[in-house]
Amino acid sequence: MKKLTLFSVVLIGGIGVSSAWAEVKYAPYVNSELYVGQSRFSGNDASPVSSMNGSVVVVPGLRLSDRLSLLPSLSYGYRKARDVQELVGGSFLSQQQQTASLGLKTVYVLKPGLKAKLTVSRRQEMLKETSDETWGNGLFDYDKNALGMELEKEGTFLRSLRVGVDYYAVRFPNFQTLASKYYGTEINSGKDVLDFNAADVSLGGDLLLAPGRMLSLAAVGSSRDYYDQKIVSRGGTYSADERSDSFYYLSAGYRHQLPELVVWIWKMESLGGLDVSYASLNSNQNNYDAGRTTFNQNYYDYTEIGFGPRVNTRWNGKLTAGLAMMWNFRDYADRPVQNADGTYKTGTSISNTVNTLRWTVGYPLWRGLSLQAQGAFQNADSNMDYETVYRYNYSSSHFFLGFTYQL
Amino acid sequence: MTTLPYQRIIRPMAVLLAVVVWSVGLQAATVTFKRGNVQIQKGEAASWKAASRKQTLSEGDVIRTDANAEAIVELSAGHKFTIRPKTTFRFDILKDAQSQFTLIMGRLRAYAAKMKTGTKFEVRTPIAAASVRGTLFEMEVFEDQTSRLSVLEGVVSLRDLAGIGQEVQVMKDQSVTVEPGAAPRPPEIIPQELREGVVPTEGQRDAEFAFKSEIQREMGLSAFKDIFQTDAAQEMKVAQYQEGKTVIDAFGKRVRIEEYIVRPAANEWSFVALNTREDRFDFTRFDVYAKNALPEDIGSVNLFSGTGHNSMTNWVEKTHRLSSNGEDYYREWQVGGNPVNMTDANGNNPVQKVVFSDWYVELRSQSNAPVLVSHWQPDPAYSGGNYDATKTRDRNPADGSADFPSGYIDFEGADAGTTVGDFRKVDSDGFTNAQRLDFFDNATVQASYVVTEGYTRSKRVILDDVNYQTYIANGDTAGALNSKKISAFSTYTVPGGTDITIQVDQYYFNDAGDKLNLLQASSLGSNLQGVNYQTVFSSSLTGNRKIDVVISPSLLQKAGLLNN
Repeated sequence: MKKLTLFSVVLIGGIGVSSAWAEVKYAPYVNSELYVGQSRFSGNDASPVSSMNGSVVVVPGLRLSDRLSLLPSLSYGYRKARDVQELVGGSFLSQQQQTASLGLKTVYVLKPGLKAKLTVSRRQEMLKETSDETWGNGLFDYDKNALGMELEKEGTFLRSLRVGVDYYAVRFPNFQTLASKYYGTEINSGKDVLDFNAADVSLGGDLLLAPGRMLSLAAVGSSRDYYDQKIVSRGGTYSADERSDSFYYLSAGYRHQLPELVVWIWKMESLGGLDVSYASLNSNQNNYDAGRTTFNQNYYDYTEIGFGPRVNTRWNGKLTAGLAMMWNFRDYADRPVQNADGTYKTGTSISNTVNTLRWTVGYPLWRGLSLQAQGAFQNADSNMDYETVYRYNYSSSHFFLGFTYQL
Repeated sequence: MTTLPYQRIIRPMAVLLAVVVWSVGLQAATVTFKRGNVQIQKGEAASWKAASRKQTLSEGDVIRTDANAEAIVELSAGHKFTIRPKTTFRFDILKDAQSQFTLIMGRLRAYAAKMKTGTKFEVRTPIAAASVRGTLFEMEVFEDQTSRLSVLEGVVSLRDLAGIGQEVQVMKDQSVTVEPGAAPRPPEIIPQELREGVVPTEGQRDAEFAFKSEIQREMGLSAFKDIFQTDAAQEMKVAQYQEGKTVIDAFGKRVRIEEYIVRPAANEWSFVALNTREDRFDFTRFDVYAKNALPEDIGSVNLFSGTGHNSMTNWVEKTHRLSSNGEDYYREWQVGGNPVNMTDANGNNPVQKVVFSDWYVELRSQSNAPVLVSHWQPDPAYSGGNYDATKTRDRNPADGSADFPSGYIDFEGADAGTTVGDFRKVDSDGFTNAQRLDFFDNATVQASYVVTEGYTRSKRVILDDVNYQTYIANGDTAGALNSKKISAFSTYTVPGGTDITIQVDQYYFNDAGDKLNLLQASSLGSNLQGVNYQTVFSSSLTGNRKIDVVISPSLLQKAGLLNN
């Protein structure tokens, strides 16, 4: 009797579970890419460096009900060379990077046109920048754990309105100050000075101005707390206060479906766009150049504006080609310019201008598999002349050929 | 548990009903998803009633959706419709061999499953009809009954019901419009928002295709946020490079440099440079003890010299410099600093320079007792006298010494005969502030220098790897002064033991990273401002382990260790 009861429970439970599972809609989403190519830097060594990068994102999406969807995600990326937009001085091209992330996004339909989302994620980035670094021991390896919530309202004119709050913690497990590691407590600059906790508030919206005309707006405010980075004083010593930054970002992107053009046998449809952005960082941290006994107040504060047009085209419904240009201007209001020998100029602050041109060409081969080529050219110009440790003036480019696959 | 859960009862029943219907040659059409106000009219004469999920539809039934409402209807043969907002759609024929529907108004997305040969699947509008098989397409009817077909997968045949034009084969990614009283227009490329979902709407959720679009969009939104978060991390790394706290040398190795200011007391100022490179750690510390309190910003303060006699109101009384590789250390300290009025050789250009009463150099190997290497005292001719006459003077050319630092003479030459250096007990583990103060101020420690139990020393000075004696022999004073690498090589004879050798290579650099020659370096004196050092110590006492402190990245560059 006992066995029968147990069997019944298992059977009924099994039916129930299987029936419930039958309600679940499952949709695997895969987005992957693999590229090989060359990168070139105008600095000390103009010869190209072979490069390879690839990434894969897998999302086994689950729609549990009309209202509830779960989007677990797993992604991995590898890059042998940095992107042109990630340049820092010295041997930059030799960097290898692995990125792995795990996330779960829950989307719940509160009522038609209104969704609530909850996201938890963990991202781990490993770097091999030098010949004496191994995977997992890179100085600038970091982990990021994030928790986010978002409400999205969908409508007709205002196609999407999103309000979100995100909290995340960034840790550099292999980076501690030399002072804390080797020198004891006399220098109280802090130990894990790169680590921070942050809270972001974001607002985003997509406006369908007219058929084929979309305006996307975004605003982000971020508060970052560097809980172990002490404030440096005018005399070069450290106070008990910790660094705290405020970051603001505004952007607008306009997309316009352009009239179709027919040239001989080619039909070209195109989507034009224009992007503008503004960013501002305000920090209570200063800088003290001990080697030159120079105090630089508000060293990290900057404002940046960006502007750029873009166009994406499709030819005969197959061949795609895109071109985008971006102009960024960053001004460090209180970071003084240094001469080539490192001495400080007075009355001038650092301003950097970066121009980037990107192009892509793609052709669908079979189902979600496409052949892709992409390239970029970047030119950076600055009034900063001291480039012993960091390149402010350079040009770089890369060209990649590869495949993308989307399931 | 008084109610019967749908999963266990209703669904199996619906499936059973579908099987029964299918067995008599009819398809079952079931509402599998609905959102918002969705209504169904069961036959022309019936009234509109709210649709329910899993409700079965029959031939002649009509379904309509309000604004912001949508519904998905699935047929037992695998066909599927996503009925978008403000749409009216009728199920005309639901036979196994023939499926026919009419989109009266609005818009829908249809997926037609692959069928047996001879079966027919047709979606009509008031003026057009689309016959399809194994396809995914979008059908729209506007207010004036203009109809548009957009094909996302497969091939669809489209004809106008008035028979004005010929049937058109509409291919994937093509869109064809039929206006009332006209033949179908030539195919066009389908609207962007239909193909790529750039205009995300609730109407894009038809089964897996729409769900994937939603996934893609959600991942894109998450990636947008992720960019900010990772950029913040990236900024921290970039700042380390910009400030020169980490560089990559020409051998691809990581070099880290940190420089700090410490203010142990109001009249004290310390500079600390920490350096890791190739699995080694070196550091140096330079302490300055002023006569009076120092301002917070000492950037423009000169404690070592002043222009004009009696011009200095504050000056350095003591200095202490310690360089270590974590195992061994080199220590150098000056005490008894006082400003002295001086003039040049002609009695002009009055200046005031700090002269120390004693200048000590000490070396220690690991946990062994430290050895006092040198003890210098002011040259009487320099102290209070004519500085120009002494600063480049070689007091004893025969010994090969350039008498560096100039202006001071070796203690052995002044008083202690042929011996210098002693063994003393000093602080062993680290150098706390209290210990350093004790080192300078403790009378017992100071007195220990009087007891000189050193060793006989022979010393060679090598300039740019050439023995100083060679310059002397050749009368090449200019060559000596142009030298940029100053090496002092000393040998201490230990009675009954092993001789001790000490080599100190010293470089001076300006801010531009250019090496200064001996003449230029001597002109810098002890001025802290604008001077960069690289000093490499090695000794038989330390197993020839080097103490190599890099204070400024520019030194690395000029040493050929940086790519820039």
